[in-house]
Amino acid sequence: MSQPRLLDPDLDFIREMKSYGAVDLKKCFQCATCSVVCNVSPDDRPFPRKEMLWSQWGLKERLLADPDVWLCHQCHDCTNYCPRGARPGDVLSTLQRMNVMRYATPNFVARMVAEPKFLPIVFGIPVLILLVFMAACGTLRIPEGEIIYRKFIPQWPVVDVIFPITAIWAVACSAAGIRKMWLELKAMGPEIKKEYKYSPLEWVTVYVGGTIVDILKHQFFKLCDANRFRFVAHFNILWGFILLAITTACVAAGVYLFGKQTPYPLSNPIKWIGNLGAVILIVGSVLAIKNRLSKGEKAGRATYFEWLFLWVVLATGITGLLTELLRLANSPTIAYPMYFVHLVCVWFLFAYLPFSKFSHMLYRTTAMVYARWAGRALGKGVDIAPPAMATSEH
Amino acid sequence: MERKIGAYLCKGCGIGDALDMDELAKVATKECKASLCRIHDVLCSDEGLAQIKADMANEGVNGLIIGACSPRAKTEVFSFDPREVLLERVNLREQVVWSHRPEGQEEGKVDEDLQMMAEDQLRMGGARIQNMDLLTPFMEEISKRILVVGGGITGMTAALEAAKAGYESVLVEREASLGGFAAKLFKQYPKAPPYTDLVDPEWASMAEAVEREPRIKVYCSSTIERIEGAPGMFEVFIKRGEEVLQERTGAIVLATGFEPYDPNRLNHLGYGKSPDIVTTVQVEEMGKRGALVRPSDGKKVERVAFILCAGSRDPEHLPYCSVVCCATALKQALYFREGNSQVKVFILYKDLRTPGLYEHFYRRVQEDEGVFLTKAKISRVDLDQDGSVVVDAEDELMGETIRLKVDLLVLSTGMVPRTALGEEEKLEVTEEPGEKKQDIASKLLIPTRIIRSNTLNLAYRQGPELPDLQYGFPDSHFICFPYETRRTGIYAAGPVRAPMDIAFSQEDGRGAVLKAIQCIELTSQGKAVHPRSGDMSYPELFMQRCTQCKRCTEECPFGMYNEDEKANPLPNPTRCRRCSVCMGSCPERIISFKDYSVGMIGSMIKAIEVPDETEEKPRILVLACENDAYPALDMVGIRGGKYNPYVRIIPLRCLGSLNLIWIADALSKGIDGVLLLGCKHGQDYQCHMIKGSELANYRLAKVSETLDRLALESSRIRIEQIEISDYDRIPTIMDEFLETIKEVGPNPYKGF
Amino acid sequence: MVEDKAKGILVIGGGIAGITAAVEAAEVGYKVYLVEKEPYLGGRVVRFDQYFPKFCPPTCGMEINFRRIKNNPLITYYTMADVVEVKGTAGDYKVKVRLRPRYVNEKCTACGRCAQVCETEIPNPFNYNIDKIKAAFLPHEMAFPMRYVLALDMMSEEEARRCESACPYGAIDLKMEPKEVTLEVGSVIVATGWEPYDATRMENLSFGKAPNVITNVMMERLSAVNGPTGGRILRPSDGKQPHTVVFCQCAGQRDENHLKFCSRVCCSATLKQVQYVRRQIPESEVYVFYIDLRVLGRNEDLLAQVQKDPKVHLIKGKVARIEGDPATGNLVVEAEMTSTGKISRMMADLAVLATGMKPTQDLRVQDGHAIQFDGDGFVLDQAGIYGAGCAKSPMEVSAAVQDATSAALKAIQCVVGR
Repeated sequence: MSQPRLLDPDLDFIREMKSYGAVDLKKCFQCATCSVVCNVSPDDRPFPRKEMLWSQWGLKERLLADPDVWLCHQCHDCTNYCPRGARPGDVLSTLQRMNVMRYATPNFVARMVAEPKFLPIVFGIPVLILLVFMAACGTLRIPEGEIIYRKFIPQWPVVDVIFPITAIWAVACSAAGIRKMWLELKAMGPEIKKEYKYSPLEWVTVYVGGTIVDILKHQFFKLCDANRFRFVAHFNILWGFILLAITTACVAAGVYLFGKQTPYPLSNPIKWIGNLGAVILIVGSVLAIKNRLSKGEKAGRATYFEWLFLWVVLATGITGLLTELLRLANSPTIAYPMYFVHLVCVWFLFAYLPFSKFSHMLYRTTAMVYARWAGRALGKGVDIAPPAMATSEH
Repeated sequence: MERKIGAYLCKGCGIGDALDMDELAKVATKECKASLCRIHDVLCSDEGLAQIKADMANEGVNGLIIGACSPRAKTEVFSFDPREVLLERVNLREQVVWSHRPEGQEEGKVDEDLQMMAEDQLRMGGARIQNMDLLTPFMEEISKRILVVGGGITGMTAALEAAKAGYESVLVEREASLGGFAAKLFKQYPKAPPYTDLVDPEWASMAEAVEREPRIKVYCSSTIERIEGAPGMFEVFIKRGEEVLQERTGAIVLATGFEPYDPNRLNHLGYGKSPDIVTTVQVEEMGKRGALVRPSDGKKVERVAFILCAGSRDPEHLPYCSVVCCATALKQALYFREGNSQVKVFILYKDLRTPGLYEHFYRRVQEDEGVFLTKAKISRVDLDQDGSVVVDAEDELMGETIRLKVDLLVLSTGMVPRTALGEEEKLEVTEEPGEKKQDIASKLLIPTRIIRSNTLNLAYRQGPELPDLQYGFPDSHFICFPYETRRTGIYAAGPVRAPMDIAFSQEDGRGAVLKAIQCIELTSQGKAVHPRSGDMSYPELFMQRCTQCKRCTEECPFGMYNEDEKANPLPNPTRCRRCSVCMGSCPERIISFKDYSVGMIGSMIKAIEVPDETEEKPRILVLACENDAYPALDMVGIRGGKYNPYVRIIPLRCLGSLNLIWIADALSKGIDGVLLLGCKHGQDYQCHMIKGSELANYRLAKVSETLDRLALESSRIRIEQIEISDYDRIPTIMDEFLETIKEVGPNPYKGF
Repeated sequence: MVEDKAKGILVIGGGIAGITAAVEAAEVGYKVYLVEKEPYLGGRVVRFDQYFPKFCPPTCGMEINFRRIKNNPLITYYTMADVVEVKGTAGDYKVKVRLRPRYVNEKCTACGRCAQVCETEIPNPFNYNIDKIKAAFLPHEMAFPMRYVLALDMMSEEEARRCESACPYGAIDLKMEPKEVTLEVGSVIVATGWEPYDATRMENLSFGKAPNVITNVMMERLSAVNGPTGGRILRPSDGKQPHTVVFCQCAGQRDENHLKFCSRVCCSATLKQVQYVRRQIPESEVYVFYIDLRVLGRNEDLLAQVQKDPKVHLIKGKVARIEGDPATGNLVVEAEMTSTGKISRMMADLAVLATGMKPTQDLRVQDGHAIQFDGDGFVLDQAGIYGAGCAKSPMEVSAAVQDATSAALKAIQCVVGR
């Protein structure tokens, strides 16, 4: 076998993992049922069995540089079949979350999002910013006449200043986080397949492109047995966001390139896309929440970290839709505040993207790209052969 | 006694349809000397039994030949006190009618061969009962006390439990105080639900109970100097310091426990390299001293590793698994963890063995965040510059070689039964012409080894201790009868018998002492213990003709005979298991039982009618072991199997009672072949008399002389190993042998 | 020492543990009642082909034990009998036993005439229903008591009468009614043993869906001369001889979702069954997937034996998925080999699940009795009532005998001098 590696378990790391929700990790007795029942896990060095062993032994470095942690789609097949009740699914979600904390730059934001006690601040910030701007524009009151949200929260300077800046912030922080992760992976992660040669084309088409297609198709979610439901939910949320992103882009373009101010008439296809997106988003997040509530432990132990994100997504969808409906219903007293709340939610999603549960979008994608690069074929193989015995066997 | 024999022939179960009962009745009255013979439709019915009882009352019948089903069937119905009635059951159903259904036999017509077979079986029954006497059990003034050797958990349990049942015992302990190995323990792992918490050692309270119990007489700092006698009358000489005290007991429980495997043989695991490399035993002592620290410098332990199976499951050391080590390591992990939450405990195992409900304890220890378990092969143990211990191991879970740096390394050493410690001596076997002793001894695959472990010091001709089975365990080889040793009335219990933990040792001590009690009760009634429990016969020797050849004293599987200085056998009937191996071994045929003797079987053989060769009706004598082969023969009938009707079957108590004279008798009478059906022998022997079937095999090697004298082919004799479940093989064996016999042709001695 | 006035001992369960407890106590001189629910004594072990580690037939020891029972007037045994109530305290119990009608009385000579005229066939419980047996049947060839049984509810009235008239000894009694007897005893030994855990509950292992997935107890019957295949190890799906056989350890054991505990015997039993296969099918390849190989004490020799065999492969890693191909009957067996960290996905002809020992629950469902159980369903000792064998904890045959002998003494202590 290989050169001896000195192992020295990190007790504090184990305790930390427990405190983040992986309370049962020590129960594992390495039967490897989890690696087999997981349909996403590859045939070679599958997860989560090795992650369970490393966690039990508190081998922090290995775990944090392990892209497999992110390849888990949290379907909890493993948790449901685990004979020991060690809940590998929870262990992996805990690791994912701890990674978010580590990659997050600036780090204090992540802590804010992660801990309930900071909740007021987390929402206080957008509320305050908006109010300040509105005050500055002197629009801090429910406007008279036909409901036009610009009258309440002016496009310029409020929306068009706050949100681009927020977006830039989000992108910058995300980039920083992804960079951190990528460097760690290259340093300590699984080695790259031998035959690799750098080719930008391959990067665009195979590694990144391929991954994105996988994600859009929800290739791996489909594989999860125990929890088909989650696939539907997640698929909806993803496409909800995509449609809404398209809408936003179109509107922006409309305003600045064609000087066409909102609101658009219902006949407008952009509106259709927007509304469809909102509906899908709501459906998706409702399903996700329902799934967690109904399945309880079987769907994995949900933490504050996850709940917060889910509820905000739902809120974004609902407030968005209501904003529109109330305008049509012409009830300004509720419509304007609703718009305000909506913007707060949207801002939350943007500003905290690299820090909230939302960030799994970034890191799982990165991990999947790395896996493709490292030549780790996800999903169960089909080749059937008598097991190649290790010399160390009995 | 004036013997008056009544023959009772049953027509039921197809016997009446297949046989000519009146002809049988003639045989019974004329040849079997039955003073009356009755044919009954259903002999096992109330009427049938009433008839028999009436004849006993009115006609004074005191010997019964019952020609019906196998003696294995309807046993409860035809059961009579062997002290008052002679009983012989002739198996006409399973082994005659049912296993020889001749083809195309029209109604009413009787198959000649079948009839002949039935008549011969009846004749043999007649011969048997003629040579039988009423039993008079061997009675002696016996002691009902029990000697318990070893004052550990097992021994104390045995003594205490015996007392609770009203039996007195004598407890002998080597050390100055009771407790045995358990007294070394800091804590015990749980043995009851929920299997989560360590418990304080229970030996102390047991020891107090023993001291308080008036029915237990304790000898500490004492050893057994000598044990004379036999079950019911053991004379025990106990050496305490200078004085030697004598106690009389009826049975013995051997509970001398184990010694931990000598770690000095484990240098490859680093033992001796540093004081910080210790054994689990040392950890218990450290725990008791409240000093779970580094022996080298007394610093507190931050990292400790356990190597399981240290010298166990290892052909170089102890090939077996000691069962308790895994749970013990888990327990000791908690010693360290409960002392300091920062301690890291590593447990390196081959397989983590917490059998049964101990799995709960495993789970509980696993959940401790500071305990790290993995399956690993140790490749190197060494010391670092700073003196800490470095362990390299091929980790079969990580799939890589790992290195651990620890302050303390604990080796989980296994259990060595105390009976394994001492030099061994082979059972002496008398020289045959042209053979060395070792040759013969080595012919016997079943270990006859005795290790001078200085535990019992029996004054037995076959050696001072219990013969070991394997690895020095004086264990029985019987899954169904785990308490049987090869010395009657002596029962091994606890780790001396097989590796086991405290909970199991307590059950084992209790079980063993029940066997001791049972032995005493049966012996007091002159009855045998397992496997012929209840048998009231015993061997009687006609000493005038004894040639002091020593065969009986050497070959008895249970060491029943002692010898005087002139090499005369001195029987100890209460040691006897009634296997009659001695009867088979005796060239002078001076050993016999009232209901079983060389002469009896001989005359049964002589009772067989041998047609002369012109009739082309060969005759094959089958001598079958009573416990396995005979039931298997029954099964052939019950399953509707079929084999040739030329066989004549005689059950033997054990094939080991085979006396070569019978072969001579058979052959000189013109019987064409002899088939011997005995139990499997060798390492996995199934013979309940341990080496009976093997001895028969061994004797047969010498039958050639007989054959040469008679100028006969050796292929006329065949011995087969038959398991009770081999009934599907029997017809083939029977018929193949018949073919062989036909090939070699008829026995020339026919009609002599 | 043994006074005749001493109260009797009740032994519930006539398997190896119950029989042992009964004869050991009776041979000391105590009156014993042995109650068995099956129509025969012998329990699980008589359904085994061979015992480990000696590969000897269970019926060999049973023959001796049955002889001990036959010759001992102190033992009263009931078959097809259920204990429905145990009331009282140590030294003084009243026990209600319900006797189910056998429809065959003690006049039966086991001549088999009734079976000859009976046509109806019923699933054979002795062979775990792998094959069928006449509705008038001898439970198995070496059954004790050697007496037939009528499955009256399975046969037509007409057929039943045909059996009745076929019996020359008036042994068949169609009017037999359930009886209830009340026993007064001083102590009780619970030796109700175990039953194989229901393997259909592990959906991922396809038992019940794929015919060539069998359990270890079924393997014993396939290997036994008096089994459904006459002792030939054949695939249930097509009766062909298997080439690749996979043994799956801890199927539903050491498992929070099934049996939490370890059954102690399965590893040794599997290593024994591995040799059944290897001895009968020399060209076979055998794979054993395990978490820990728990072969205790000197049974380690069994492990040493199979390790010498190049065609036996012992792999650490639990089988977590078996899928059957309905067309061919072949199986795909999946596990991770932890030592290499690779998923093994192999084709097998036959898979044997090492399902564990579930303590028999018959007594638990009854109420109004004094017997206590632990969380796993095993009997807890208390003054007057003692567990023996696998009713107390999972154990191999020799341990069960040891335990039952011990229980016999406990029971005796409780009646001595009362």
